[in-house]
Amino acid sequence: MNSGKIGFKADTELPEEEYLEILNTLNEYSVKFPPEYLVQSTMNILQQFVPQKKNTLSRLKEKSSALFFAALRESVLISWQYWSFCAVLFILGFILIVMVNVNHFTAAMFLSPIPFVVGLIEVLRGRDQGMTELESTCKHSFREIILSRLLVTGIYSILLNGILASALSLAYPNTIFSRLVLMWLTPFSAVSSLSLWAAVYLKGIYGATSILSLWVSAVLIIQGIPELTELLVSLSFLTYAAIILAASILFFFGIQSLAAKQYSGRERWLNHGTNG
Amino acid sequence: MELTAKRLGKRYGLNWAVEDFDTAFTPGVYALIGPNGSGKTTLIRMLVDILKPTLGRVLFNGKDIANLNEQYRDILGYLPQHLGFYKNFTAKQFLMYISALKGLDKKQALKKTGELMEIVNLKETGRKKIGQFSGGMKQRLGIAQALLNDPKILILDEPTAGLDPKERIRFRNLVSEIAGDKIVILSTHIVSDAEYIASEIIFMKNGLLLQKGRPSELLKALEGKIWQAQIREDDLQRLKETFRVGHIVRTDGYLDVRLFSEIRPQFAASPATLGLEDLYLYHFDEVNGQSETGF
Repeated sequence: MNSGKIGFKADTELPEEEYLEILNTLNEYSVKFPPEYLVQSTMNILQQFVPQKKNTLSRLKEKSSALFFAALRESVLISWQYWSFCAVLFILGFILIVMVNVNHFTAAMFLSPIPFVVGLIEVLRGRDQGMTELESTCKHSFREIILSRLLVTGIYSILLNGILASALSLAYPNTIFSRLVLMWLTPFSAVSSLSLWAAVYLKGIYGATSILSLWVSAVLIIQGIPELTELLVSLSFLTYAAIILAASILFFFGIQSLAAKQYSGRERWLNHGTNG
Repeated sequence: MELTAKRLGKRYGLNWAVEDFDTAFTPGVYALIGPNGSGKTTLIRMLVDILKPTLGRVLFNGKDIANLNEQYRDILGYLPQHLGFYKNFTAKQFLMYISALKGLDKKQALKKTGELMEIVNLKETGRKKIGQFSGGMKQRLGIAQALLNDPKILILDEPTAGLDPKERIRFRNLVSEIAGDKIVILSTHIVSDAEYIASEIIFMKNGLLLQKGRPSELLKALEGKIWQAQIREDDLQRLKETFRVGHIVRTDGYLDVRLFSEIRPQFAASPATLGLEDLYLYHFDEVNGQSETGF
């Protein structure tokens, strides 16, 4: 039953007369509008329950701390083989550099991206082992999981490279430390970004091995051409900075794509050929 | 508490995997039943917010789950149809890890992990890695992880696949025990599982909602349409030409057959005691005049 005058539809079917009778009875009662001071005092009371808007700094602090704890949680997932392989690689690398007396700049360059690239296998283990669908439905978002794992492997890679650079600058006192840092930071950021993009489209292990093979081949080619090695070592600070900046932008978008909140990023990983 | 699918649809290319699915779930156990390819898994993935609908929305208490994010995932327990595992973890490590992802603190996580390992009978697995588990053990572990956060909405995609009969009974009992004020949605094509635990049945076919209701209501509509008869083997072919034949059981040189007919057959047939399996066969047994289920 619908009445244009009344302006709403009754849920139950009542005869028209009975309905109008009820309406007339109700219309006999008048509801007074509350006085202004009561409205105001109600508003004042309710005001204290309105959630405070957080400022940018406290939001950032909250997010960073959440990411830090997530990184701690995720670090248990990373296999001991990864930690030890990278550590042994860098220790052996340092010993070889000092003993064989190779160019320590190019050696640091060569080693720098390896921990991060190998780490991608660990970062994407969940995806490769069919855990994405479940992890995507947990309280902590899939994006947070991927970011925290990248943070763990990223920090470890930087730590190893930092230690190697410090050790090399001690072993070779004439080395300019900032130049050494630039020398590993540039290939580290460039190769890491490329490997992240490879990981978006390939299984973690395939992406990592493809990039590592390309990287080793590139280093061998560079080492075979002394003029090219010389050129790369003597690039200007601005050139290095530009490469690092470009790689960082590429890295940022790589993360966006890998840990896409957009469903399209995840749907790729769902098995469409299901039975249901 | 209400979970609503509002005119939900998902299209892959030109094909609709789920089309115009419109229904509401309130606390209770719902069984999604349909043959392979009927759209159950696609529907479930939209309900758990990992698949974006092409059309329509999923609402939880009137709010779009796509906007609720963490708030929705916090009350959700989910078992995917194909669940992967970190194979070098033990069952306990796996449950502790998922607990952390679900936001449980260590004390709660230890308590729930212990309880659930007991319930799904994995307490004795000790240091055994998941990689060495049987299919049934993995499935039980999958069920356990879905319950870690004591979810208000529990969605299980083919939860009894790979379980032996004893484990299936344990699972049914578990669901019945914990259902209480939860919304439990499970997909299955094992009709007997649904028969025992579901308060409502949803039949899906070709991505469409075919029928929804309490088992008794659905079966009522089938009354007078299923008949049973004892026939000689020679008569089977003739019977198949006239009627849709369901179950056939061989007994003492005769065949006990169940058949579908809107009117009482002309020979000695009596009305059959109805079960959900009859309803399933009624809806799904024919594909282009051929029997899908082999009858």
